[in-house]
Amino acid sequence: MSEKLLNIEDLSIHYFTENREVCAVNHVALSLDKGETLGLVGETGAGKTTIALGIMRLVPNPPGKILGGRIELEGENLLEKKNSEMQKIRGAKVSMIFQDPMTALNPIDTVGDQIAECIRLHSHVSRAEAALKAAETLEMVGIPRERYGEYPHQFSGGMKQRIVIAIALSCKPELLIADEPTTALDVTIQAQVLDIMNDLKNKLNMSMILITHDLGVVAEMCDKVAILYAGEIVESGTAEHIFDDTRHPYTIGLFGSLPSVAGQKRRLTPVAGLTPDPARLPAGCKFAPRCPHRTPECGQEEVALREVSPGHWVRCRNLEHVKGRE
Amino acid sequence: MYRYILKRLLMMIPVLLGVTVIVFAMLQVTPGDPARSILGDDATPAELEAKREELGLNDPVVVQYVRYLADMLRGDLGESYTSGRPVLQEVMRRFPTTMQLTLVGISVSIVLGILLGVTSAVNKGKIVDKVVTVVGMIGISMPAFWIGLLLSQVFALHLQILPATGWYGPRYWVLPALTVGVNGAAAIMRTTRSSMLEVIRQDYIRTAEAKGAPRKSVIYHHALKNSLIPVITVAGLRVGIQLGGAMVVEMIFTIPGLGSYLVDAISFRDYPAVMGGVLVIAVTFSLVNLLVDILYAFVDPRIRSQYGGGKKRKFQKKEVSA
Repeated sequence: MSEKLLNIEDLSIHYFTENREVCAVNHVALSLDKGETLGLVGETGAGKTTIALGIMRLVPNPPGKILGGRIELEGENLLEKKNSEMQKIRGAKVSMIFQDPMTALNPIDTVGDQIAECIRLHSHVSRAEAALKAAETLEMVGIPRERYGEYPHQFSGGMKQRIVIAIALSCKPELLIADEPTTALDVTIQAQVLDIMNDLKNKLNMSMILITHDLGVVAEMCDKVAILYAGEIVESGTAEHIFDDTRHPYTIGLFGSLPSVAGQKRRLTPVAGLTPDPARLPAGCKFAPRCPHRTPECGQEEVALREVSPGHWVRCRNLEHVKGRE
Repeated sequence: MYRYILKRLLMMIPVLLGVTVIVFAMLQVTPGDPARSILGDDATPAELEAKREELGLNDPVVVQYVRYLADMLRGDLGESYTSGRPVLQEVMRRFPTTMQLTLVGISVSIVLGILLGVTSAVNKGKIVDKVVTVVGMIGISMPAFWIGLLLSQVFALHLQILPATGWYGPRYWVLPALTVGVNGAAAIMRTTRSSMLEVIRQDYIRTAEAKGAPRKSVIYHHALKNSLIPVITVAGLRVGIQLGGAMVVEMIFTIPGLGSYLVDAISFRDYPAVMGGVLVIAVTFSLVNLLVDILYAFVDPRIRSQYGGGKKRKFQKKEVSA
């Protein structure tokens, strides 16, 4: 079970616009074993999607540029692959589900053909065989195969997302990257879609990176969690570490802004302030300006990740003062 | 779909009626006397008067118009004043040449325009894009008659590799087709470019890339096909412009088509010939517009379902709401 599938080291991705350099992802390290689900959590603009696009090597260039680091998939560095080699990996070994199912499907192709396209790209099968497999994939995500020949505008949002999932899973990838797969869907459909994803993940024995800002989803789906803030990982560990032994002030803040359904009514305690402009990141700890526990030193030097217990890493210099959450 | 086409064909009737009214009225107000054109300068006033009476030009305009319409409904567009032959026959004899010229011209426009437009969009901001955009600006600003004169000067007169006049085979098509095609190519290029740039930013293009589709397939299958609607619109309009522009080009290259026929007819005040020629062009243009709308449906399933597809649609409606 503990066979390593993905290993990211020191990954930095910046966007270069006319007069600014936007530091979207800074020295990120992640690793993922086969069959595991990793949750990438962070606010809008924290760099979650950029990391995902980096793994797919689909960071729009220009303006985006992968500055350095390694992304190893089964020991091979994806950043050294030629584009033609990446084409064979995308969709076959690593697939991605995008945030907005409304716009993720090509409006003028039938949904069946869009699934079959992926199958035909990655296996040498005839048109008819690909269509048959595509129809099976459709059924796998709970859409009757009779609807193979229909177009995206004839489906509801939840169904479109299932089709997007079907495309991503059609070639049985080893790694599925789901970029906020349920953000655009309403709550009842969210649960359905997550169920389907979890089911298929176990059935196909995939690994998954789940990008979300919904800690509820993380609790339900993830083995490991990495909390991202301003392009850096501020806390990472197993789900138990993050949920039961929350250490970083930002993570604590995230939980504070989560309404609880079961418990007594209380005021939400949102994290004060705004995420820093990624083109002008503060020196030292990026979270310091918003941190309730900051000390003068926080704003001066870079803070390294510290291992507080085996596998649980936190980027904070004042851990001694920071009490966990109640 | 068939009902839609039928409806559109019926809608052509008022359009064509409008065309006849306008052209008829314009001919009435243009100075010049058909009788004098026919009989020449040395005809006596009595002869002229007799000729006018014979042609029915002394009747009130409304009577003339109604008579023309009644004849038209019987398929009779009158006889040419100059040749005395039935206009319909003469027009139809020349029409294929003009249609050929227009089709070859629009093909040049479409092929050049789409290729350049896609190239420029895909290389946005790079030197290729800038060169293509500038060439496009030049192409759209040059009037067709000038391009025609320039082309025949260079290729027919100096290089002597292509004929400058006549219409006897593909070799004769090249210069006229380029002449009518260049403006259209520039217009289609600009439309393709902006439409492609719009589509390339869409999420489904990224989905296609994430599937591992090769660049070529992403650009030509996913992006171009989705960019086609405005391109088809512009191409359809260009057909109309080029039908009209055929007059100029046919004069420059002395091509025996409808355009040069119309120019002659206008200068001879040959009313039936002018009416007939314009009417045929108007019908053609209306049909091209209908074709464009049908092509929309062919390219985009969302438009197809708007036109109403009969049984299939009902079935889908039920499915979606379930």
